[in-house]
Amino acid sequence: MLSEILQKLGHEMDPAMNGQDSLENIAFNPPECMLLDNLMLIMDGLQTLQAPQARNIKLPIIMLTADIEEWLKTRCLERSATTFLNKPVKLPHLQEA
Amino acid sequence: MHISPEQQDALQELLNIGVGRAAGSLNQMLEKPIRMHIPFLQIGKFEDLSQEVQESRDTQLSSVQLPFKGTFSGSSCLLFPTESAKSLVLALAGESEDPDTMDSLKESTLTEIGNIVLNGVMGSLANVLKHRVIYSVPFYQETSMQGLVQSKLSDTPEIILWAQTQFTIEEYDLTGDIMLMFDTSDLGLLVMAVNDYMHSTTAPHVTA
Repeated sequence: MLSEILQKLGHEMDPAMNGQDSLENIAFNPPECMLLDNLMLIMDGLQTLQAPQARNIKLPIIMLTADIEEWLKTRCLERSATTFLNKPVKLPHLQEA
Repeated sequence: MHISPEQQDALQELLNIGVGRAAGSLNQMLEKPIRMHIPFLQIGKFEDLSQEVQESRDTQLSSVQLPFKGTFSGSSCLLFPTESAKSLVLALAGESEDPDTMDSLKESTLTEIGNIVLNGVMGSLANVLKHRVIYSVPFYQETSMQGLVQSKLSDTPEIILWAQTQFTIEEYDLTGDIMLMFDTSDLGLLVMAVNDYMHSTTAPHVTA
């Protein structure tokens, strides 16, 4: 749903089902920004966060997750997330990030 | 494992905080007032825990389940009667004429609502108790209460701690339940965390 909303706002989206898929997408077509959830099958957001850096790909990563735990926010920001946002997110907050 | 009335009160207070957070998230999504009922706690046999289970055992439900582990493990569920679930999806995502698209829209919308609401409850509990909770990916299931209980029987200890709260969104004539089930094998750790919380909130303040 978020992907559709952002598309309508003029952003080109390349959705991935999990972290592994997203890394393949990034390698094939590097985006300007990555929007990352944490709870995903195969490779979760925390694991995915480290991968672009390890491959020398630099891009802003916005973590957008329903998980409100403090440790996760700290860990994500330590692992190169640019911004950490909790769902539900107001569109202006996301656009600002 | 015994849980004293004071510990039970403290746990209930913590759940209230979590449920309040979940209500705030629902309110933000729907922009409508959400009325939350006071959560109740029970410890007992999974099969016999709630009278409601017996009363509504055949009612068809839309459920989102978010299993968790960590210091304490168990499962959290968001339950709606199917008609309420339909109203919620219509309010949030609109309607599609294609039945397959509508089914997929319903599943993805409800899973995401469940993800946000259940994370709100569990995350608040974890933050206040200062313990980590690790979640599995949430999943959607249409089942009866009896079906839900039976599907959990194989992987749930015989005795569990059960917390449940009901909420209503009058604008959409909608009711739902948030249900948490904690494995009692971890109950000692949960009680210790609650004790730490009780001591931290009742400790006398020292002034210079």
